[in-house]
Formats: sequence, structure tokens, C-alpha cells
Amino acid sequence: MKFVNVWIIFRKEFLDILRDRRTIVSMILLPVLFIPLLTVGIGGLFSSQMDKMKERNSPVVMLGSKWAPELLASLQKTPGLQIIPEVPDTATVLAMLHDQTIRAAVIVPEKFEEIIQAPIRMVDSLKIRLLYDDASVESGLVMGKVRDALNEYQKVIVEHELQRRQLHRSVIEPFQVVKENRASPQKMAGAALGMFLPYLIILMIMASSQYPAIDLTAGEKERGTMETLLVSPASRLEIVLGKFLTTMLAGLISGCLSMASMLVSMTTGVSMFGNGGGGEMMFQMNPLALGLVALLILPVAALFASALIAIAVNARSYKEAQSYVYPLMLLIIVPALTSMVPGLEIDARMAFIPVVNVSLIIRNAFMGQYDPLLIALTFMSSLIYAAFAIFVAVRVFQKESVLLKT
Amino acid sequence: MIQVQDLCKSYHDKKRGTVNAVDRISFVCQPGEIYGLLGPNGAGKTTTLRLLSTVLTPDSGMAIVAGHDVARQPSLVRANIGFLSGDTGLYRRLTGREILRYFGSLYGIEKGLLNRRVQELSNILSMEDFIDARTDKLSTGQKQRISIARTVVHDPPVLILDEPTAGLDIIASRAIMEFILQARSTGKTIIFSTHVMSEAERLCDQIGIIHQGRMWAHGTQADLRRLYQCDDLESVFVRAVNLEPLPSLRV
Repeated sequence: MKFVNVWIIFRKEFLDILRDRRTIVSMILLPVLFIPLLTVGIGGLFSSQMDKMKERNSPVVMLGSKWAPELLASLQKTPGLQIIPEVPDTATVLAMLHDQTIRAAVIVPEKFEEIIQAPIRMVDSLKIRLLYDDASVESGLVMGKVRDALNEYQKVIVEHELQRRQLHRSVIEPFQVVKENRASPQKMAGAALGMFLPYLIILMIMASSQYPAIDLTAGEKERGTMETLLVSPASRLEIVLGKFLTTMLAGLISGCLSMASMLVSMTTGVSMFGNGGGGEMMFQMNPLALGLVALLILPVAALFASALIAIAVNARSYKEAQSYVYPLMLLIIVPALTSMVPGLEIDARMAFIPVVNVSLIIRNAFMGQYDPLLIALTFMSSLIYAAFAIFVAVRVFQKESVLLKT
Repeated sequence: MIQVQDLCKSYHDKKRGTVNAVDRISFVCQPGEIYGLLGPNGAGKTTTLRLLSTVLTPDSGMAIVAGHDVARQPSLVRANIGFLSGDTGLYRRLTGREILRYFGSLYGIEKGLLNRRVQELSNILSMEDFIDARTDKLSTGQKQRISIARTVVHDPPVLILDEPTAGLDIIASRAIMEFILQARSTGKTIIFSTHVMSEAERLCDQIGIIHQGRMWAHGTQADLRRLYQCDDLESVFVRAVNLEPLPSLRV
């Protein structure tokens, strides 16, 4: 094999795909535009809608308000709630909740305040029903506000009762729970990023390798240039390696651009994880994690490039190749999605499952977890799969029936 | 020179079973000579030429092209042939000059020499006006001239031309014919397949009539006319394919 021929073919093929609008769209524009749109755009829209919902005065019905004038006053003072003090009956309340004319409803039992303010109480705890619609985000938010207001009101009553009986608060609350989040803001940002980044990178590599792989194989057959190349002094191995390197580079460029684009979106803009840029989750670029991702996407890009070439070369035309490649695209989504499965941790066995291993290792890296053994296993197994896929692609390329099928 | 002896190639077809695309074909083509492979579509012309250009590997038999065996020294064979067919395409997103440089460098031509050679071909084939335009912007005739230049960029001693005028208009076809005659005058060995009798009559020194994968007759035009007692090549062809094919010829 002459490496110079591989280089000549690679250089020409790369120039060729750089002049192809489809490759430019999938390799450069998609990662550069789509990812900020997804993170800043959708994320921004998401958080601004949340803010709007939080600020809005949401209608809440209070059924039986005549039994609880103090509670009514307290709820009416709560910001963000617009209390409707009376409706005919529970059926009306349910209907209003269903057609979203109200977001929540409080149903107070008969003689509520009379009973709870009596000096000696002979009944169990009274029950206030709080109706809401968990399928609606706004209803969930309103329920939280009403619940907090009710708790506040309950606190006042208890406080009052404790004072009357001259008891200390620790009688009813012997201990308190103090929650402390020990995850650093970086780790939290990393965890959020680590869920999406592997999936996005893997998908982008696949999407951008697809066009060059098809164009340089089935496309070349369709246009009648393949035979010319086959009668040049370049060997089949040199030809397939040149095409493979071009496809792999397109995948790598897209993978790196996706990563860069996502990091820029995360650090500068409002993210889809809420809080905005200056919120709790501060993202800092971790050079070790970035280096590891760059290292791991190499065998992934190689695996995709060779698999795509081995498949696409069997087609007679560009269109036919697209239909062959489509199932592979869907097939990749499943293992790539594993980074989003909570609680799924990589172990030595999983380090041998292609794509899943890389997806999980990248996720861990962004959470600051590095297991050298698992990283080494993942890298080695990915390399072996990539080498096997290249071998298959070379073999397919040597079949006369495949290359001359027109 | 091209020497072919008992060359065979079969392939498997789902409907027809095993098909003998090339069946014991033998012929010789000397330098400075044009050998025409004449036959209808599906006769085995393209398969024969693909065997000679090493795109396909023969099942049996022997073919020596420019002194190299097609089965054992395919890369040396490829370095010494120029291949052109009627459906040869060009890289649409590259310019003519880029394409010529690409193939030239694959043939191992040194950069300075290659640039001079491309310029020389550009002058000979009058490509100055369009050699630096992307080929998807060119007319069929202009594309064909670039294809010709691509075929001879490395100045090969042997030319293998598979129906090079197929799908071309009269003017573009004439350019190809002139190119073939010009190449013969410089001593190149040329094998050329066609089903157009007038082209064969005008160009070929030797003719092989190929049908159903076998050689049915071969010789000079005069020999064939005498043998089949016909005045024109078309009648020779019709008569030849209605008789028995030649037994394997020792060359």
C-alpha cells in the first residue's frame, strides 16, 4: 500500500465534499446552529415561559370560604393567586379545573375555623382538599404556592396554640432537617451537560458522516466516476482508506463543533436547564473532560465512517444508499440515548458495548468521574470495533459485483 | 501490446444462473494498431475490457497488457493504460485542471512535470476557456475533452476505450475519433469496443466480432470481407454471428 495515494485520494475527496452544500449543512451548520437553538433557544423559551407562569395571577377557587375567613384573607394576600371565594358546588369546581378556567381549588370542610380555634378539640385533624391538575405545569406551580400558604397558616395556628399552652416548639418539632447540596455548581452543570452532550455528539457524528459516505461511494458509482478511479494505479485498499478518512474527518469536525457549540451555549446563554447563565449551575470547561471526549469520539467516528461506507457502497444510487443508511441512523439513537438513563452506570462488561460505552464514559467525564480501567477498556474495544468495521468496508470494496453494480 | 489467450469470466445471475460473459477469447493487438471489438449490447465487450483494465479478475486464461499480466501485476497494468468509456463521468464539483492533477498525481507524475503536461493537454485539446471551471458547468463536448485529457494525462502506451462515443453528438464523437487516430499515429496500442459499424470501418486495423461472450470471427477488415464474401462490415457481422463461433485460436 502506498500512503501517498491514500493522501492524494483523501485530499481530493475532502475538497470535493467541502464544495457540497449538503455536507456543509450537516457538518458545520447543523452543529453550529442547531445546538444553540436547542439549548439557548428552546431552553430560553422554556425558562421565560416558566417565569411568566410564576408571575401570572392564576385563578384558584376556594369552596367553603365562609367557614374560613382568616384563611381566605391569608390566601388573598399570597402573590400570584387570584382567589375566587365561592362557586356553587364541587361538581362546578371539577368542571372548571378540567377546562382550565381555574388552576387549583381549595375545599374547606364545614365550620373549619370554628373547630380549629376551639380551646378543646374533640376531632382528628381536619382535612383541606387541594385539587389540581398534575398534567399542567402551571397547575403544579399554583398548587405549590397554595400549599405553602396553607402551611404558613397552619404554622400560625400551631404557634398560637403552643403559646397558649406555654409549650416550647421542640415539643412538636423535636428535630429539624437541614438539607445541604454538596455537589459543586460545576458538578451539577456537568451532570446536566453530561446527559445531553454524548447523545448530541454521537448523533451529529453520524449525521455528518452520512453524506460523505454516500456521496463518495454510491454517488461516485451513480455519476460514473468510480470505474475511472478503479483503473487508476491506486489499489482498492488505498481508495477505501482515502474515502474512509474523509468520512471520518467530516464526522470528527461535526463532533468537535457540536461540543464547542454546546459549551459556548451553556456558558454564555440561557440554558435549557433553567436558571440562566448566572444561576446555580456555573459551567466551567474542564480540559481533562474535553480531552477525553476528543479521544473517545475518534474510534466512534471511525466506526460510523467504515460502517456507512460498507453499507452505502452496495447501493446503485444516492437515493438507494440513503434508504440503506437510514436504519443504521435509527439503530445508533438507542445506544446513544443511554447517557440520559438515570442510574445506568458503566461497568467492565458494558465497556464492550459499542456506542453505549462511549456515551456513558463521556457522561461520567462531565460529572468529574474518571475510571482509568473503564476508559481504557472503552477506548480499546471501540478501536477494535472500528478496525473490524474498516476491515469489512475494505472487503466489501473488493467485491466486483458490488463495485460495478449500476 | 495486448495479448489475450483463452480469457474467461463468468458471473452468477439470479434469473439466468451462471453466465459466461467472456468465454475463451483470444486476440493480439500490436502497438500502432487499433483493435475493434465489435458486438451487440451484452456481447461481452465491456467485460473483456474490464478484464484488461484489471477492474475484474479473470477466472482463467491469460492477458498481457504492456508487458504485464492482468491477474498478477494489476497495478503495473493500470499504470500503463488509459481507460475511457462513454458513460465515464467527471467529478462535478472539481475543475478540469483539478481532475487532471488528481489523476496525474495518482500516476505518480512529479508536480512540475504534471503542471506542464496539463498545460500541454489544455493546448492540444483547446481547453483553455473552460479548464478552470467546475465540470458541472460544462457542455457534453467540453466534458468529453476533459475525459480524453484524463485518459492520456500519464501518456500511457495502451488505450482501452469502451464505446467511447456512446451518447455523444456528432461533433463530440468526431473529436473522439480524431483523438483515437492521433493516438495510433504516435504508436499507441488501442483497443476499442463499439456496436457502430461505421466507426469500426473508419478506425480499426483489426476487428474481432464478439457475441454471447465468444469470438465469432477476427482479422483485418479485408480478411473478414473476403472470408464472408461481403462488401461491408455490417453484412460481415450479420453473417458471422449466424454461423459458428471460431474455435479457440492459438495466438
